Amino acid sequence: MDLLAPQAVLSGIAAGSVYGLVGVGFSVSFRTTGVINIATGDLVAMGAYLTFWGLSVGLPLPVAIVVAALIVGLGMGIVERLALRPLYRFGTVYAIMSTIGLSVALQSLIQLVWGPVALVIPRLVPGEAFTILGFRLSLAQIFNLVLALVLILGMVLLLERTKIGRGMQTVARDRELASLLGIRPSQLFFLAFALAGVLAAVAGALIGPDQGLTPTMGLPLGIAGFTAAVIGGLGSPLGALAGGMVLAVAQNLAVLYLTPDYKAALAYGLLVLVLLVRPQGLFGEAGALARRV
Amino acid sequence: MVATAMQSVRTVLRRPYAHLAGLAITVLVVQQFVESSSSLFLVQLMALYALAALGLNIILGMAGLLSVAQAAVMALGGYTAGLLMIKAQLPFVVALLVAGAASAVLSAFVGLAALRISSHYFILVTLAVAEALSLLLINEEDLTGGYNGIGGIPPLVIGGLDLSSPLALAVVAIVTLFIGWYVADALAASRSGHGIHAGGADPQLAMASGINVARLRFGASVTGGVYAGVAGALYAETLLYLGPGDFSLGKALLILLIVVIGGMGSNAGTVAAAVILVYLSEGLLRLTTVGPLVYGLGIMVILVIAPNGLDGVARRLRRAFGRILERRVAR
Amino acid sequence: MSPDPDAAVRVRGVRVLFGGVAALDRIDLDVVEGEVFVLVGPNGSGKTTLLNAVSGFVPLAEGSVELFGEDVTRRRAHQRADRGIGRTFQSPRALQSARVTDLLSFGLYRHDPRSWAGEVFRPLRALRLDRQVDERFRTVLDTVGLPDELLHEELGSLSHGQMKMVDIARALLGEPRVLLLDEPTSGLNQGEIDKLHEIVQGLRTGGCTPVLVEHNVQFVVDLADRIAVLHQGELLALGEPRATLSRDEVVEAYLGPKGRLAHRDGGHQAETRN
Ligand SMILES: Nc1ncnc2c1ncn2[C@@H]1O[C@H](COP(=O)(O)OP(=O)(O)O)[C@@H](O)[C@H]1O
Ligand SMILES: [Mg+2]
Repeated sequence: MDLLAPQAVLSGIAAGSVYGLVGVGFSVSFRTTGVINIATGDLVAMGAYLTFWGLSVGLPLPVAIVVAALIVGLGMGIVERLALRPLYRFGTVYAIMSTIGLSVALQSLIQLVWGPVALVIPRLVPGEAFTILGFRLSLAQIFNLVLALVLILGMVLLLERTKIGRGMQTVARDRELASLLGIRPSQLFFLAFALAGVLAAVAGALIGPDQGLTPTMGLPLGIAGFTAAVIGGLGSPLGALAGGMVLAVAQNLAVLYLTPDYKAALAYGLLVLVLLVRPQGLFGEAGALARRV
Repeated sequence: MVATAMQSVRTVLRRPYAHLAGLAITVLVVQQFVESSSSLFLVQLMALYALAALGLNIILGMAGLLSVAQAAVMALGGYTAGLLMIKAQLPFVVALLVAGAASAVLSAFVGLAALRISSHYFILVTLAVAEALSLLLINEEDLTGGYNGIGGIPPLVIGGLDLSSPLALAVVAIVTLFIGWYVADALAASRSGHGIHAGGADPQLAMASGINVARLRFGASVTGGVYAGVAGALYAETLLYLGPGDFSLGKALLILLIVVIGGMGSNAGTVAAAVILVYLSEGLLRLTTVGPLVYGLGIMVILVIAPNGLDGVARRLRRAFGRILERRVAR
Repeated sequence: MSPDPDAAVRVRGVRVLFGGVAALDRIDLDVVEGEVFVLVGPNGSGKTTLLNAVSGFVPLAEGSVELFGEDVTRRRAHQRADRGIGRTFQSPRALQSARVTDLLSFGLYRHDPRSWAGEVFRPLRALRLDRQVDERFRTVLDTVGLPDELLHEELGSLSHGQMKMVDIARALLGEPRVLLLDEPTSGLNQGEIDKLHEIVQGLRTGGCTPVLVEHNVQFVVDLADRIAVLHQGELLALGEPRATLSRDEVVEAYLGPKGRLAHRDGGHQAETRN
């Protein structure tokens, strides 16, 4: 039996969980504020590079990852306060443009500090593949999948079970109602972007060992995250996780059967296709966010 | 009194007088004072980026659709015109028309997205389209020359007239810019322009006024794309060589920044910002490694301190000036 | 309710659901051409939603809407505007840097003589048209009691009341046959309220049927021909203003059972809470 395709699906599921992580962070900040954070991919890159930096000053890897995630999260929260919040009253387009500026700035900052040459960071768990039931699988893949799942389930719990999370959802739906309920939007905006930063940074530390660190690594990962979130319907964290897996599996199959040149383009194509044909996402409920003018 | 004076000033400063006068003065100044071919090249770039930015101003400034595909549309125009002239030996004017049409088709595709989805998602579609096109330019080596790009584009000749000297090219670019500017100003003053503006400012209010927001968004996307396509075709004649780097995401951001700094919706501001920013990005920023960093932070800082750009500043000055005048008259 | 052949707006069995909860539940009503029709009801009773249903801003789960005998249930908002529905919004929209002329141009859209081609190819005629339009704007500002110096002001610099009046002027420029006004008096000062009274009276003589959502009962009683009371998405009462407002179930809806007693004892008029 030809095991290539099932194998591609299997490793796609593992890789997709990381896209999902990026997508969840993106959609949490989008849902809460209405701002599409174009710099999402560059937060992933910052996470990877700051992990590299942590290692270089002698921190053990897990600590380095946590430190990187905290710095990126806090940094993104501060950027929200300084460079996005003053713009909300002009409409979200202005804030989105500001995140474009952030994206350019972060990418060139990385270039200035660490240079254009690819860097490597080690894995948290061994990456050697072993064979099980005819499939090749590594501990790293399993670990990434499990960690992504844990973090995403954590997000689900936070959004559904805590006052803060419900507040975020209320603010997203109805700002007036939120202020009637005594929810302070300003804290939630900060928190939403900080969480997006944390998740993106962790994703960067997980994906860094696979593809190496380059200043331009962010954009394709950001778009993968957008695609994951959009496929998932831009609301539910689990939808984004599933969306990431759909994307990664499709990419693996395309590389296998079509051409490797357009692996990245597949994400772009899927993103456009879903937005045009099914804007509520494959798993989203109709009319939740996408509405016709 | 002040009001009637303002009224007559406004009449004189109106289409078409203002544009004719502006064109004449600009051409004269360039012809008299700009000599070196490198400075003339800079003038060409300023005019072409201004043209592409005027197109984005229709899409973003008026219709409120955030696009980062404007450089990609420009690339399509440039490559189409260049390849038609190289491979099919078509005259420039024909190549220009086809390039304009091709850009219109690509922007129509992008515009379809604006029909289907709420305008927030538009940026994602344009990002994906821009990146996909740049992958195409790199991967389809047989057609586009991949990273090497296409060279050997025949110099500009229109109707047997050789316009390939730096000065002639600059004048052609400036004339095209002023035509585009005039047409954009006419659009802004027209029924359709107000409809587009309304759809960008407040879709619900627009619909309540009987405006078909979706259709006008689509129209704005196509119109703005044609500007980029024409700019791209002329760009091919300016460089005689095109590579994927000429239309990178960085260039899209330059065009975006021009519109932001000019002040969203303001054509005059857009042109002024194009002149300033092309000068800075080709001169100052290109020489330093911190260029892009300044750029990125610049977008954020300018948005926060002057969200309406040069246009907002000009309006504030005008109002202050009007108040001083009024006080004088009152006395 | 007897079917009325002259109904400007006919609402039949309209149901609007938000996440499964009915914001409007099987509403039937006719607005007769030429009358002043007023909708009242406590906060959240569905008044704005009803205006949205009529003007095409919210999808109906059930029911139909007719304008002057034409079924527009499947028509989108801008198409309904084209068929003569004008409306304002409850809170002035946040158009920070647009100017008053811009907003008025939005309203003029349906009758705007300035075509793009005309502006490009016939600039001198365009100049004349501009003067005409300018004149039109000054007239409409005068109608809503605003000075024409405001024409080139930014919307962000207007007061709340001025902004609401400019929005009414915007709606008037579309020459609607039915004009839906959502809480037009909220946030206005007494001078502006009097002006509004005049405008609504003028509308009716000008052949436009005003439909108002209103909290200000005093403003409404001598202006309205008929009043409809909404409560929790249902039509509670409909009829002549004073009689309708003093009906027991209406008073109860506003003030609760205790209020009803107080109303009986004191005998004062039902005053809405906001
Ligand atoms: N877009 C919406 N999404 C969800 N619920 C809504 C929406 N608009 C209105 N509602 C709900 O419908 C009910 C009626 O609201 P509305 O028509 O605005 O009341 P009114 O104008 O009478 O104050 C309220 O309970 C409100 O919370
Ligand atoms: Mg209401």
